[in-house]
Amino acid sequence: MKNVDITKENIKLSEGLMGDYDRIFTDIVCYLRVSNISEEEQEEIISDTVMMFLDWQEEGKTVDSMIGKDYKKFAENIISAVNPKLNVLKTIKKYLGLTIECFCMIFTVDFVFLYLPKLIKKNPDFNVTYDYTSSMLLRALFVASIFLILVNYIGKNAFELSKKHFSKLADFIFGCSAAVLLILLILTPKLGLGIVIFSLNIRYMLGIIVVYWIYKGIKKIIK
Amino acid sequence: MGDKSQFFRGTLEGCILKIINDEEVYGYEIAEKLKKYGLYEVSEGTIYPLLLRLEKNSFVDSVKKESALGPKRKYYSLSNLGKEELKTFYNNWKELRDSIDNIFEDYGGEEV
Repeated sequence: MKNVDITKENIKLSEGLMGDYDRIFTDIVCYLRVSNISEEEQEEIISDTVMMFLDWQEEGKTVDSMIGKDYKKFAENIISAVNPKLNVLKTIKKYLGLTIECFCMIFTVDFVFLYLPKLIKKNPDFNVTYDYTSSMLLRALFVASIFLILVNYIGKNAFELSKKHFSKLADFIFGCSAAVLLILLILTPKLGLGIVIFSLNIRYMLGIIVVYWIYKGIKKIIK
Repeated sequence: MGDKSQFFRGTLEGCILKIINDEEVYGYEIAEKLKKYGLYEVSEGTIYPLLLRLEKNSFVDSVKKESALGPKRKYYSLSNLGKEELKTFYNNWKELRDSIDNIFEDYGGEEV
């Protein structure tokens, strides 16, 4: 079975979990997602776990009676059983793929919002260049860092966070922090870091976008 | 040291291999069989990481089968490598047991 199929099956099966079974299962999945275990192994483990949880739910056995009250320890035992080893080549491949995907997405958004209206309004002029500046790079790095930090924090503290009830003050502080980050994102281009990192003719940009979306389409059809 | 589960932790994998050696079983059945022999603190959840380790080391094979009562279940069977591991485990266990027995016999038996 392909990894994508297992993922789909896991999502479908997990929909059958309720109450504590669902909450604890979700926390375990979050914790596993930010571990060093490969995606294939993660899906295999999640598949085993969801089947066990459904079985226990069906037979009325509590999760505590089956894995104890320390769910984090259970998840850690699973991770140490797999004993994940850092595969440098696989990690580089994964992050390179993500970077390329990100650039293709940025190209698409920039083309649709910045260049397409101009091309539609006037006579199409394909001699325009797309400039990728240092402020754009800074913004992308900023967003990616915040995203990675947040995901890792939530995953690593999944068990503690799901038990916590946040006060209104904590919610307010979180809201303010998000607003400050948003303002910083808006202000980044105004920092005067407009150094052009690379320039691309709009034709090439359009070519990259077309190739990327055709590739995505074919990939989806094959799956 | 007096904690039974602590004492058996290292040998639990060997016991699991022996149970799987006799027939194809799923996690819950293994836990129930272990309980039958006095390992009451063992549950399907606590032996899952051990089964995962045994599977990663190719000592056991697994297959998912439909269950009449509910969701699919993962059944485990012993691989050839697992059979070898089981033999090694049992030989090591016998050596250790004999050594401990000899020490206790020579030093006054069960008297403390």
